Amino acid sequence: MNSAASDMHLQATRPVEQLSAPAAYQSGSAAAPAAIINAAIRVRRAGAVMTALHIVCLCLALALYAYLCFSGIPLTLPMLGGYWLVALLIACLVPCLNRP
Amino acid sequence: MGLFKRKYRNAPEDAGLLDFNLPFAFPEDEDEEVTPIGKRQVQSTYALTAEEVSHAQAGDRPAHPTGEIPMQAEQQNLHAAGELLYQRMMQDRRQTQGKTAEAPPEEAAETLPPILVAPPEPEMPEPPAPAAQPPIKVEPPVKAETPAIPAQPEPPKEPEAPAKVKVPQPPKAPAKVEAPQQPKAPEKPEPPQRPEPQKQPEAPAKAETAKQPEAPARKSLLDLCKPFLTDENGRTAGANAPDYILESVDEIILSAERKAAENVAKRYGMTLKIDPAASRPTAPAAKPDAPQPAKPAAKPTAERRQPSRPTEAGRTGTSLAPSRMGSAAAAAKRQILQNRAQTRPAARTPDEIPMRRATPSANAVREAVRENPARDDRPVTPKRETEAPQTVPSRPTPTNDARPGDAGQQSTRQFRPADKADPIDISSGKKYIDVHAADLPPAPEEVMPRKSAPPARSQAKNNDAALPQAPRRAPEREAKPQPAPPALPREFEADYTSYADAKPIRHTLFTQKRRAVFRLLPTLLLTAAMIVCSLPAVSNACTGWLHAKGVVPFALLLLLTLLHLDVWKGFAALLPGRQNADLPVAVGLLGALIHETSLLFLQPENALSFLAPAAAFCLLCRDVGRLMQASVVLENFKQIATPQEKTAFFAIDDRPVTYAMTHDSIPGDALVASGRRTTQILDFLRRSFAPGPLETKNRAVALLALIAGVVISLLAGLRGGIAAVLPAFGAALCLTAPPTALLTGALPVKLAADRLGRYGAMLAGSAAAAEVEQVNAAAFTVQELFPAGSVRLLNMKILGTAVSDETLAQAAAVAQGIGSPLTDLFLRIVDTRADAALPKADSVKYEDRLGISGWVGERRLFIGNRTLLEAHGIAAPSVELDHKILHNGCFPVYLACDGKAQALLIVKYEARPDVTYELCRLCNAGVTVLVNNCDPNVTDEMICDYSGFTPTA
Repeated sequence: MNSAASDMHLQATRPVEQLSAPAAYQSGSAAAPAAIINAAIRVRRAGAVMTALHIVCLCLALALYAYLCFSGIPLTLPMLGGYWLVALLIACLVPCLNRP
Repeated sequence: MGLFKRKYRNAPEDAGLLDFNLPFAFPEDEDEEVTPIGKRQVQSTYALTAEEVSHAQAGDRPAHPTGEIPMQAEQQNLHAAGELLYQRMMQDRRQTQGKTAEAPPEEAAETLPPILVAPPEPEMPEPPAPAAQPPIKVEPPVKAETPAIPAQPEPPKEPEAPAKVKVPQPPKAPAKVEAPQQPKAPEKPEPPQRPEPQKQPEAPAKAETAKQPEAPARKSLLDLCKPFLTDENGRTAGANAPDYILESVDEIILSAERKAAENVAKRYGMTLKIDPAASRPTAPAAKPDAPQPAKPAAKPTAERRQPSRPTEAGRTGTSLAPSRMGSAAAAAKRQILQNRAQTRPAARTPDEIPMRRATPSANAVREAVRENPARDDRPVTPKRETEAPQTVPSRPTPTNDARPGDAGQQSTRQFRPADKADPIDISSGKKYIDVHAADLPPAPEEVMPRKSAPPARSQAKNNDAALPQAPRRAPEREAKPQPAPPALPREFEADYTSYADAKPIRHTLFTQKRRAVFRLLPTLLLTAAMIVCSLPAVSNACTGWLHAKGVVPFALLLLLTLLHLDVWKGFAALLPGRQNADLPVAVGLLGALIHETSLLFLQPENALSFLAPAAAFCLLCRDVGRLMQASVVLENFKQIATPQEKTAFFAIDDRPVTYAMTHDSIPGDALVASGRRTTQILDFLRRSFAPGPLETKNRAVALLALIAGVVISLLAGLRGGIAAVLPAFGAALCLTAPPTALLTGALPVKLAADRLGRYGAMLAGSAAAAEVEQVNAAAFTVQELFPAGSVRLLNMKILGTAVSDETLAQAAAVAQGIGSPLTDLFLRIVDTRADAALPKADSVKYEDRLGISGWVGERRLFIGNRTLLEAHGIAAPSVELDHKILHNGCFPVYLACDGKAQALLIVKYEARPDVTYELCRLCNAGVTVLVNNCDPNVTDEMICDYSGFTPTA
């Protein structure tokens, strides 16, 4: 940053009494703010992926169940449990793989 | 002195000065009459004898070299004389040029007495004999003798020296006499405030020579042509005669602009209006209090626009000397000039310059920050370009006709008016406007420019002060309005605003977490029981009515429902404007209840319950999610609910600030994340309990589930009868509530909170993550990159005699005053040598790439590199010492005071692994790292070398 930007940055970082902020940290190292941004990016990404997977799985499950009902095959507990297990694994794996 | 050219005009009101009236008319078409003649700056006066005039009247005139010129019928005889004069002028010019090449102009001036044009005489003199009339030789003006033309802001001076028309006078051919009945015009002194050009010292002497009484009177050309200047009605042609004015470069440019604008107007059939004041942005308006030259006859603004105008004394700046002019003629001429000067509109001040109007469009928004064409009512403050980074020149902007993708047609569309009834102001000048980010109109998404927008770049090329590409906002951030703050949960009376609110809020959060735990345990047990009971092996082992009726799972489900009565509040999310994370759970639980109930009463023989444990598992995941959320909020609240000062991390959305911070480092729009020291964090609870990413889509998912349930139940009814409708409907609803819907928001936030807690940081939920995630740059201080303990002192070499504990304490104060990474280094040295408090340092400043300087009391200290010392005239040790230190991977830091280098500190920077790791992840995520530097040793290359990422070009 140039000197003018530095002044603006210093002015923007002047202590204030109260401030509405989505995140905060107490340490004086750059690791904390960098980790905040990294975490925010991954939280957002994981949430988006999980939402998309949820909707896709929901639509597939409803389509499958409609097919079962039309075919006369009753929905059983193993079928439903298998579907939920897959959904649960996806829900847990996505944030774990994209760990904040 | 600028470049001037001659220009002939027919309109007297447009002419600045009637220097002298050439006795022939000029074409009326103004566009075709502009005839540049090069760098000639002095006009000439020519004279014809009466015989020549009469000869020309008889029709014996040479062919005009430039062809026939349209003229008025009543001035044909005048035209004949003029053409002859023109031929004579050209001939004399050629002769003079040849003569000038042979002899110096001064010698020619001495040998040839000048002939000056006198005021018109009432009676015609006797024409001299043609044989006795010597050829007229026109001496071209000597450039060295030409007085300097005043610059635009200066008051007008005499722009041109009088042209000397020197005619070799035979003894019987008088050059010029004054009219005997007219008194000789007195020598008028020059105004004291307007210095007269120092040139032409010989002119008055020659004029005296020309006024010899014994010389026969010779009529000037003006006198000879006077009969031809009067028409049948007695009206002189002088009023409508073409004017001959001098123009400055600005006027030449303005004329070209006007001509181009007229061509554009003819081509596109619209009305154009030239703003002449805007094309002279460098000519400031004359201040009333500024010392003005005494010039009562003409306005200063008019004088500035017409430097060659007559002065107060009535001088024309050409060949008419004031001493040779008749008083009546001079007075009349002054009156004419005054009238013209008064009728000329005064130059406008910069504040009066009208703003160009253009229709706001996508390109206008993309022009960055600079233009606000939609706000005509905003005050416009002309400023220099370097005054503020948010002050930028405005440029022509396209209209609404310009659409993205019409790159090839932008050149024509951008000048098409939105409304043909409104004229368009065209200006080539730059106007500076202040643009505030909040005042910029939001750009419609459909007209947002594409990746490569030729119009803006072409305009930037055409502009001299083309700025870098303006920051461009992300379309989604521009188009979407700011969402309303999420509602506060009912458990909390108010959000956290001060440390006094910490205790009740912490208690509420702890209660919430404890309640989630207490609810989770029975849910876990009941769910496990239902799953066990629903297994085929267990259910087949059961006999009696328990198995047939499926009472046990149904009863357990009812018990779970009673434990989670608040789940039914999730149906409130179906109402518009309401959001609730429990809607999927409520839908699934409702489906399970419908399914189990229908099986229990409609198909008791097939009452194998499998949706009851599914609903129980759904409630279990919901409780887990609630517990995660309560735990995260409580842990985050413990970090912010402290009386100590903390750093709030937020995104700077002020465009001028972000543009200044990310200058040339980010190609597009910039949203910079930066920290700011604060005491309390506001809106913590609202952000923490904001709905997650899937909660905003719960309503749509629930409606989809209802529709799918209806369709599926109809299919099942067609296949299995009426008894299969309700179980199918319940199963369809239950399928829409998998555990993914409950863990989407809670699980990633929990994992992030666990990681951030190790750094002493917090992120307030999914909504806060959505805010921070949008940034594409992050600003850090160099002290954050190299926090305390990252700079080690390897050695210190004493160079002066003033190194003491006091000096080191002062150096620590100076370094602490600006937040240098060396602060901890000096503090550790001071702590080991002295136990005194740090003095107060002021005027601490960082000189870019040099170091720090500051005052402690009456002592000025310098902490920096060798260049800092050399810049302040302080002798430094040999440069080989620096090379040796740098070669070993260390950095030399000089401490100077009292005008001498006192110590050399050999320091070593050590990047912390966590900082390096997070910065690398940040760069890999595409976020630009901005460093607010105050250490000359920390450079771009050094940071990239230590952190392992590549710098921005």
